[in-house]
Amino acid sequence: MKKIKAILSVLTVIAIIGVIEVYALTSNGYYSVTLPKGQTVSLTMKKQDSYDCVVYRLINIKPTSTGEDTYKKMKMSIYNQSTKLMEEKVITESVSNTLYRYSHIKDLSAGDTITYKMRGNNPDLPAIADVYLGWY
Amino acid sequence: MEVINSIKMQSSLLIRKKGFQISFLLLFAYAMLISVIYAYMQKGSYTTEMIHPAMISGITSDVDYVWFFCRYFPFMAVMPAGFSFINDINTKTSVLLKAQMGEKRYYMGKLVSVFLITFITFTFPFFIELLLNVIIFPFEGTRAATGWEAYSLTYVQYANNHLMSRLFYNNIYIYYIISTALTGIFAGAGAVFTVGISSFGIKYKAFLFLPFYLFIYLAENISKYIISSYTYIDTYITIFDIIEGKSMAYYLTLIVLLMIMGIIFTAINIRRNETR
Repeated sequence: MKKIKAILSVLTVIAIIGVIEVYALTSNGYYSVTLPKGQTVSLTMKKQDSYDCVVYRLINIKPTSTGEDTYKKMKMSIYNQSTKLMEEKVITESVSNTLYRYSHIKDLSAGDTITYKMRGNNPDLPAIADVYLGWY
Repeated sequence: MEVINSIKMQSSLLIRKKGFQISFLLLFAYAMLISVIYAYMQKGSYTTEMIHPAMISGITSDVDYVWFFCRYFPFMAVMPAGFSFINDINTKTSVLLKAQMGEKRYYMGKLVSVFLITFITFTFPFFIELLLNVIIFPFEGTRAATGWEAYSLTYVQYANNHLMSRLFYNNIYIYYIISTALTGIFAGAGAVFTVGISSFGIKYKAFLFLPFYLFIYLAENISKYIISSYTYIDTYITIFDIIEGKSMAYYLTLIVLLMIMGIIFTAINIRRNETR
């Protein structure tokens, strides 16, 4: 009887943790959008009422024709619905593959706009750019 | 002096227990595995393209598999010493120790030794890993685990988001040691809190995995409505984390809160035992 009770206690703990983890998984998330290739791209947030962070991923970043890493400059601006600039960051980096950036911004809402401006004249700017908008 | 003897005696008892030995070995094996994986991943790379030795660690926010450390952290924190009070009662050791050193000294020694043993479990494996990484990997490695150069303009934008970022700029090794120690302190506070809960006479050990886990879950989800800082604990217990909006005050408040609750719960039960 003691063993059964001990096993039941372990199962209860696993069940409680399981329920919390499943709830946490469903209440947190990322909303992914693929941005088109271009010098300036912008994205208007949809779906979720508010977001806490922005993560973006640039892939297929190619080296220049000379084979050297390309120094790229990229500007990320986030505007809210009344077009007020909320955040602006410049990235200057020697990159040759995938690049992630994180930004924790409270109270981003549906309708707010994120704008990415690619500077420089390299035609091999990211072929695909994914943006993940997260909430937790 | 007698309190120190109580701490020494109870710490040496805890070190001999399987809970401490297994959890220490698990964390040590995890830390070593991360170093081996990164040594393999960077095989054949130019030294300047390699990750800085201090940034290859099982506790670094951006290394692969750190997810395991974060997910199992609240449970691992309980394993080394969280069950010690229940074990003492089950084996009648508590009666012997209380008779020998007095009830208050026993409880004080218990809380301090639980904290120390958990702190050691969560820090020493990563200190040893740092030492080995410094020997194994070249100092010329300048990249961060994110893939960026650790002191590039881009990374510096993010390094400002590290807790104690000034320390990072001044000395990366001291930053590593102090940040890891802070994680150890948080784990130790969680263990003290768990022991405080266990003094209420919880019958089944399995239930002791819940209090610290629930505390973290509630702290994350309630605090985000109260304070403007980022409240997700994973970004605090890992080092070199680049998420914005973290607050040292929030982290320290949680540590103090856990300690105080652990001590208060234990004190309540000492008083309850005295009035019986």
